[in-house]
Amino acid sequence: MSETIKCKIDNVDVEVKKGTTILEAAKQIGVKVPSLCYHPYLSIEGACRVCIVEVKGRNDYVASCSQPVTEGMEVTTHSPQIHQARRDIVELILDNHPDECHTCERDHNCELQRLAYATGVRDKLFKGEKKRYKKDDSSKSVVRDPEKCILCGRCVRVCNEIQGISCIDIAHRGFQSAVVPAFEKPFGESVCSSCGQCINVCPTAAFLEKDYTNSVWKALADPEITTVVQFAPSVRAAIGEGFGLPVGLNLERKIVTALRRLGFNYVFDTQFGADLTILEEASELAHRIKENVNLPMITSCSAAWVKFSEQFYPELLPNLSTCMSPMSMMGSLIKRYFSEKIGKDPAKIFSVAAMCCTAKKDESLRDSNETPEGHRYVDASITTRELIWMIKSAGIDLVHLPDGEFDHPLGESTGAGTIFGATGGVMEAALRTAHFLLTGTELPGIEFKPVREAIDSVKVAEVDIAGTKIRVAVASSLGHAQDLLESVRLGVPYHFIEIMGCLGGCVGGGGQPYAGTENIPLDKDLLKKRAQALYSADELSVKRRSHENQDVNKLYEQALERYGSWKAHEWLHTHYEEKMPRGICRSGKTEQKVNCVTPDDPRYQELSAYIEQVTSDNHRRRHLLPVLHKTQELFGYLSTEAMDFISVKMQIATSRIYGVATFYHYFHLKPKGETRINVCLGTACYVKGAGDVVAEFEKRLGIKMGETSVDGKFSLESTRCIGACGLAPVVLINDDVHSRVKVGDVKKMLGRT
Amino acid sequence: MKKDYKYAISVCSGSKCLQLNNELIDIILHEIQRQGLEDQVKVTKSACLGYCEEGPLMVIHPDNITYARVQKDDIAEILSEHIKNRRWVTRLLFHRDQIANSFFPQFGDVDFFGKQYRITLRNCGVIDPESIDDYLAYRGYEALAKVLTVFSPQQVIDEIKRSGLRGRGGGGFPTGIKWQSGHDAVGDQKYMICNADEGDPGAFMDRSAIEGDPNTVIEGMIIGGYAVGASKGIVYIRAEYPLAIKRLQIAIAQARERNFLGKNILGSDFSFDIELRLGAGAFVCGEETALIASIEGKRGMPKPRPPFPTEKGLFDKPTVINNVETWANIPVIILDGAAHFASMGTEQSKGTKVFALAGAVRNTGLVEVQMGTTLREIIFDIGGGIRDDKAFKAVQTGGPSGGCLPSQYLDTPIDYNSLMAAGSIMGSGGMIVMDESTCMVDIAKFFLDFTQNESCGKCTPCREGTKRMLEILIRITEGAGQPDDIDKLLRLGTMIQKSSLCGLGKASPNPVLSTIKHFRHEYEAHIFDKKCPTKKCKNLLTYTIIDGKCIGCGLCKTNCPVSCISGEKKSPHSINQADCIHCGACFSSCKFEAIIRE
Repeated sequence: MSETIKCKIDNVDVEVKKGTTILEAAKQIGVKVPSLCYHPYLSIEGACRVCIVEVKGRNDYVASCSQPVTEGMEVTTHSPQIHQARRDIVELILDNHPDECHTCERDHNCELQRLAYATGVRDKLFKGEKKRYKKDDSSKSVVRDPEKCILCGRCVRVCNEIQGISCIDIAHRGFQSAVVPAFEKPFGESVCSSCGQCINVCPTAAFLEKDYTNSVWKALADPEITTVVQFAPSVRAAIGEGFGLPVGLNLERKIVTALRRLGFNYVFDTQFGADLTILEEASELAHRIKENVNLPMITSCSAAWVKFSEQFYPELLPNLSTCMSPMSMMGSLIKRYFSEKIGKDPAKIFSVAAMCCTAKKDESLRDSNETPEGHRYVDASITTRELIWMIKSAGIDLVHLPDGEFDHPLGESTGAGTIFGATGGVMEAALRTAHFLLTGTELPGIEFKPVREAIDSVKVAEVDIAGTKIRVAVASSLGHAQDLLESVRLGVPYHFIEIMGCLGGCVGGGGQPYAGTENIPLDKDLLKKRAQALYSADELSVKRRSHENQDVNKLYEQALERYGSWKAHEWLHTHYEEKMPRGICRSGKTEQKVNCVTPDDPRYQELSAYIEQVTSDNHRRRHLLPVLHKTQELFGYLSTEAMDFISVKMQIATSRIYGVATFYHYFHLKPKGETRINVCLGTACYVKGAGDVVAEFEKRLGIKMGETSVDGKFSLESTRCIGACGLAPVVLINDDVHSRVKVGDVKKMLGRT
Repeated sequence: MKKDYKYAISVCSGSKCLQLNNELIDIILHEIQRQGLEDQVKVTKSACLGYCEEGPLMVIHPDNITYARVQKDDIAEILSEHIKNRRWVTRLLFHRDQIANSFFPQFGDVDFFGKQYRITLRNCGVIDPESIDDYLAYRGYEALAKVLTVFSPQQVIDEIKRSGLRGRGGGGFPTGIKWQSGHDAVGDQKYMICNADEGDPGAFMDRSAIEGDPNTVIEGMIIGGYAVGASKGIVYIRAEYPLAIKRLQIAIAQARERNFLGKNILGSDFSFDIELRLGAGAFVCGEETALIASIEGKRGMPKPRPPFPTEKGLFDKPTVINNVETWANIPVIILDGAAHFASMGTEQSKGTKVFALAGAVRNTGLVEVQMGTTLREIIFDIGGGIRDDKAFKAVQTGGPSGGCLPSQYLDTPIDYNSLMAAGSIMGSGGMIVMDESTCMVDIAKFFLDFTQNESCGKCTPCREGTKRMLEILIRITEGAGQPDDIDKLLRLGTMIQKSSLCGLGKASPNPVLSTIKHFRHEYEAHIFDKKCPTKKCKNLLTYTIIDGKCIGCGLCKTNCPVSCISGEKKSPHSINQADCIHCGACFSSCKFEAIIRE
């Protein structure tokens, strides 16, 4: 039995397990301490200080998220002092945040807004300068708006700790701190997988999905255009949350009606595409097992996983199933099969996909996802959130709508297609059909629970198909995927692997409704409840195996001939390309097989040798600072190319290196002038007039502190105390010390150099 | 062949004088040869003697005569007069011209040195910091040998506890207790770290201590490693200290050669080694959890405590971090005994403390005094009082984390508790003296600008709060202060003190809060009267031309960059106050004192 601790919170006795934080203990007695950077499934940051409380005997306030309770501790969570301090902290955040709630996408869905209300910020006492950044909409899926960022760091942590990508990190420091991709390049050029988890955990609108609803409204209003919509399994399991309904309700039929009310001409079901995917994928698996090629086979339905693998696991690309995702299969059929059925020019069909996913936007825009005539399979991929907004915007009362029916020929689905939305669902559905394909008989006991709920860790199972032991594994989240693939690399033999980019699978997708006041993103119960909505629907289905889908079978009869046919390949399969990432993903955990060519430059040869020499111990990453020192010594500054080189060589994500390089004064990211003027701004120098000396240099050189003159001749810097206080004020010109400098000396000093 | 030298000339070679003095040393060597004194005189480089004001300094042993402000041309004379003719070169001796007309030739006779009590700096300026033999001659590594032969680790810790030594980095945490928890923590690997990332503007104690006597720091760390059970030590030092780095490297290499470092030290079971890590210019890395993050190759951002580094520090292993001065005290405590150390200082603060004395005092430099010495003794006896016969206004201790104390606190004894009670802190040892011409609002702004710049950006109070405080201070000094600005500063300052994540954040409002406490009237003058009493804040100055004195020469009109002065030749001019940018060009160009600034 674990040790317990007795303490008092707001005069109520509490007994908790050792190690419980004040915040968690308070929750046990029904007190919710306001918090912001805290997230129960991410590491503790202790940064925002909103959750401060008073502890008897301590002079300062204590962050309740990071402080474990101790025996006899007496905590006060609200008092006039705490109330004012918390209010002031939240105001400070608001003072550096745009005042545009009424035009913000997250109006009424914003944690900061709720916090401002709860803590009582009714006026602004400390207004001042606000940070200014441009919105970055270079990515096809995710928009960054750093002006709205409040630096809680949740996105950085989810990207690193859950997804294992480290696409973003905090760069610079102090008031200039910002969450950025490596080198502050456009987000579209970053290693982002487009999973959208940063959007889910962001308390404000610093990350958003790219909005494609405008093109949808336009198509809906165009009488020439036939509008076709499909929606994913997980959309029906979560959309209710956006309308204030409890978690875990399946609103499939109401969504159908809502989409018709919005004006869509045809409403199809992505689950049809899921059943089709299973038939193609199961036959592909049967073929690979029979031939013993490209095993383990890995699923390819998750767009975030596909983008991620193209960047970081190029050696595994032959193992990915060549099947397109259900969404893209649907899109392909809409523009080919369905257009022919209704006798409509595909150019006049607008195909919309409502998805739980942000990465699907990226997928819909892949070069390969169009017909040879150039008709996009999916013209607009929108998220569950965008759909919720469209429905609300059209004044449609989703909750009270009558049930609707899907259209044919792409509307029927089985329970196997439904469970695609939950982690392990594709695996289970595929096994149901693979068993049939390989043996001609059905899997005994239709459900295969060992692969369900792979939320806490990877799930591994074995299934006997006709005497062959088929080893399968399921991972949800790209972090777990890396754990699993590491074991593959180490030689653990699997036949079939399901990988979903988001924790819990599609139900936890980056496009799902924002967590309300009650739920939290990534919450395991939330994910399980959404998944349960799908499993219940499966249980209630008459048909629960993809090969029982009559419309799908009809499709094969009429157009595709047989599973895995030449035509099926042309219509429903795709290929993958290695995309060279900048640097690597998860620091050090998995060795990336990236070709690291040392440039011919002898300085790189020297740097390479240096890195190899210093990184021979277990703590490879700790040598980053010495390596950066060495790089600067060799090159004079830290170039993007050099940092890219270090990233691959040391297996540290580029965003992290950029974050470190911009944190320390000593490192420069730009070349310095031939003559470096360094003015000491220590206190002794300051009180003896160093400030005026700086002003004089700035005036004469026409540059500001920290800049280099256009001709590259001079750079002006300030240095912290060099300890020559007796000689104050001191100026260093390159390495020469000039003491007791007066404003009048500046002209002479510049003349001499 | 070993020469039997009669004299040793020790030339101060702290980084400040070094550049100049390398040249000087060459000339000395050359001159020795020319005068045929090779067999009699040995030249050594000593560390910074701390009295930079009078540098370059040169001490001739065994006479113990110090020459100040030595120039190249003086060398020949010093050698021929002092060595050959046994006559002192009086014009180069230390002297306190403004106080009395007497000379203070001997090192130690000068008040600057005489009132000091040197433990940390005991060998600085005495030994050659690049020679372990010199260190050994001054009882170097004796403490280590004593510990390894007669002390158990727990006995070492008990001895340190008894000595009453408290962390010299600023916090003042009892060193023995810190070691005890490091000792008690379970871990297959433990680390000792020396924090030499000296970052306060105006502080250079650690640099000088390492430059002068690197071995004592190393010895302290080895003893600490033995007590705590660590086998690895890391010195985290500012990259901007090349000389200190070089001397540490030399000392470490020499200590390895003699088996003071490495496997089975001096034949014992104890193994310990030290490596150097260079900082990269981040003030916040002086905070221990930030320093650990930096050694781990991360952004130097503090982490919430608990867990404390002694339980979960570097690479999650138990880690003891002390600063340079703390480590330098260890060998002395072991050698002379805890009781002797505890006999110095005050009830709560034992031993000595090194300060970097700078600002408006006559003698700037490094001073080490016993705890309990008063601020007045340091500033007026050692520092020689205020320069240029101005009046004392305030003394700032603790750098950007400390506060400014006015004259009524001059008799405050130096110790952790008294300084804290007075509204400042001990800090790591920066001590800046300010005279009557210093504007306290401007000084508060200077320090806050520094902390704001150095904020790591992690926690809201420090990142956003200091920015807003700085904005308020800027507007006050520019004449746009608002009536409730003082209240806002106090409100924000108190919140930041209580709510920030790390010690540096918590201390960042101190300069502002302490100046408001002691110099509130100056803030009020800026805000309500729109006047800067010390005429430091440019925007609050008004320039007026006195009719009777102006002869209408037009010089001010020509020099005015915004053409806001009008007037006919040979008749009095006037300034259009609305357009004036307060640059003072007219004031400095007027040859007839016809312009008043107020």
